[in-house]
Amino acid sequence: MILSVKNLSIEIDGKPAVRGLTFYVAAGEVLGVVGESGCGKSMVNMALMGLLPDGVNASAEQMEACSVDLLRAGPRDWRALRGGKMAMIFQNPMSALNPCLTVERQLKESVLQARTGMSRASARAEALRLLDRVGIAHAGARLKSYPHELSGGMAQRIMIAMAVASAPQLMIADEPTTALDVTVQAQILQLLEEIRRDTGMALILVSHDIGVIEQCAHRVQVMYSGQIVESGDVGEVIASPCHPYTRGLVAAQPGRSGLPPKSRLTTIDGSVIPITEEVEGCRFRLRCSRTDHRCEQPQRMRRAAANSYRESRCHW
Amino acid sequence: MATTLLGVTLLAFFLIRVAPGDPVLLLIGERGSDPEQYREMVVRLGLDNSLIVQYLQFVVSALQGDLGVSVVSQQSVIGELLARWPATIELGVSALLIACLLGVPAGVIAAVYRNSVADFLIMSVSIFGYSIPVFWWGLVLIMCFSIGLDITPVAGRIDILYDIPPVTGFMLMDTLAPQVVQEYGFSAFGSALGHLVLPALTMATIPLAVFARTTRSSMLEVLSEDYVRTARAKGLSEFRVIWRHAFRNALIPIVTVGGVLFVTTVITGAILTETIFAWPGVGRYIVNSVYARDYPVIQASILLIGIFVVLVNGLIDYLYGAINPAVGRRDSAS
Repeated sequence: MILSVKNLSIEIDGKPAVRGLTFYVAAGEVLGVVGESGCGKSMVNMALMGLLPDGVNASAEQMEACSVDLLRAGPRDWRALRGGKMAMIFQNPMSALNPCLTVERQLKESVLQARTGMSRASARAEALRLLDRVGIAHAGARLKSYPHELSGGMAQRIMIAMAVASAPQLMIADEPTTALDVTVQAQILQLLEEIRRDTGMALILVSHDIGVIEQCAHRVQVMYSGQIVESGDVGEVIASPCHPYTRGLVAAQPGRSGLPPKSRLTTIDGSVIPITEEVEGCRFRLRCSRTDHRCEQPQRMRRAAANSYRESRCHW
Repeated sequence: MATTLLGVTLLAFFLIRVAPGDPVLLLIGERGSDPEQYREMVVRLGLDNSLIVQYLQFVVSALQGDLGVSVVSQQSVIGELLARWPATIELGVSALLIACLLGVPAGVIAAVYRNSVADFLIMSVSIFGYSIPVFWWGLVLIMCFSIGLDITPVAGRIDILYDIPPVTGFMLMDTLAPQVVQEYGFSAFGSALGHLVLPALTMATIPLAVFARTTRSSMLEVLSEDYVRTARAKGLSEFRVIWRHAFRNALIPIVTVGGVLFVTTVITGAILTETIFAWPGVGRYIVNSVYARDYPVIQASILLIGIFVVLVNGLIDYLYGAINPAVGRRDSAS
């Protein structure tokens, strides 16, 4: 297991936001995480990287990544982990690159972080190799570029190059394609998949687009308002969702609802509950079309089928 | 730029003439009661022409590089100003250097450890520094260090014992000239440095506070940027994250403020500080000229200051591009 998390809770200014997340990632697998904006996906990623902002605190029964106990990791351990076995790429590549530094300096920085003591010349050669690896043409010229001279897709490729510089065992991709054109989106996803296959790293792919998850992930976990509401094999979950929220997400995809073209798109009524708001019982209850008295009790994850690892936070 | 300077000439010319006081009377003193002598003087100073004609004369000769002759000393104004300019620049640059070297790191520390005791202390001291009246602060420093502790001189640029031939006009450089070192050793340099300390500290106080506050707010903004998170996600040490990734991006507002401060400290700061410390620079020269209603000197000084401000702004625009390539590009495109 590359990552195993048990009962991870995150509080914002003392108010619970992410509630009791338990999940794992196996070596070499792609875990898709899907959910609306504001459901806590990014915060979980930040907690995994030890980058939570001030005032946001994580606690867990167990949190272990790449054989390092994250609960006991000091600043030095975190830094070694971040520039080493774990890496992360972000939603908006244009703002994630430092506008004042050339691609070369930013990329070499990642290379040298992973391999201290490497000579400048070989770091440059390694940077060129990485650019080539992520499919950037004219790598030599690109090294001299500043971020504002790059397209969004190119910037994300460079982010990926920086992330894989340390040959990580686990990469967290936080909405890596949300800010990109659809065509570029497909290329980036394909690139991530290629790199994963070549290096055997595991990937946590976070997206609010269930189509992206379906295309790339092995397993999926659906998050709603700070909780995991459903998890399982990506094909099974999308083919027959157990939780009404997952059903809504799947049905909301144009082209999947079975409706004739040009008819109104399916939506989930209501909007997501603010993540720090307390709710009695099921957190999806207020938007759900099928509720009874049992929904007023807190829901736990239940196994959906005897011979499967599918779980759902719904009693139906 | 030309328009700005034209506006400056207009202001320089008319403001001083609107102010009360008669240069002729001040020049000939009580004997001004003799109308014959008075008229003679008016004609000699060219004050008998209409204002428009006087203004045009001023602008035309300024364009030819002739800023007139001081009414008081009968010397060429430009010569007198240029002779005093290095003293002012030396003081202003030293003050700004002190302000920058102390204020910017203090601001960074305040931002990085925001809401801590250090932050609170730095911000309190900077509010205090910002609110101090310069003339009072200068006197307090003189009382403490010159009179009380007797470790710094009270006034001037250097002890009268030393005879330093002006080469560059910058005392710190001239005292290091080979023949000076041969004659006095490094004691002349020490004396010049000692004379510089208090006025520079006086002048540095307000810019220091402004630097600290600007740096803090700029750093706070930058520290929440995505690329700072990226830098941390790379596993870089906090030192590198702050100084290499954040600080450089925080520099633009700091440089802007630095430019404005340079102009204001060198000019307005100079007028007060040079007067208090009897520093033989442009500031004190302007003050004395205003007392004497020396129209050509005042006009010329204001014009020269205008040119200086425009040049500094140009330099700052250039620096933007050097700091942040994206900015430089936008500028050259427009």
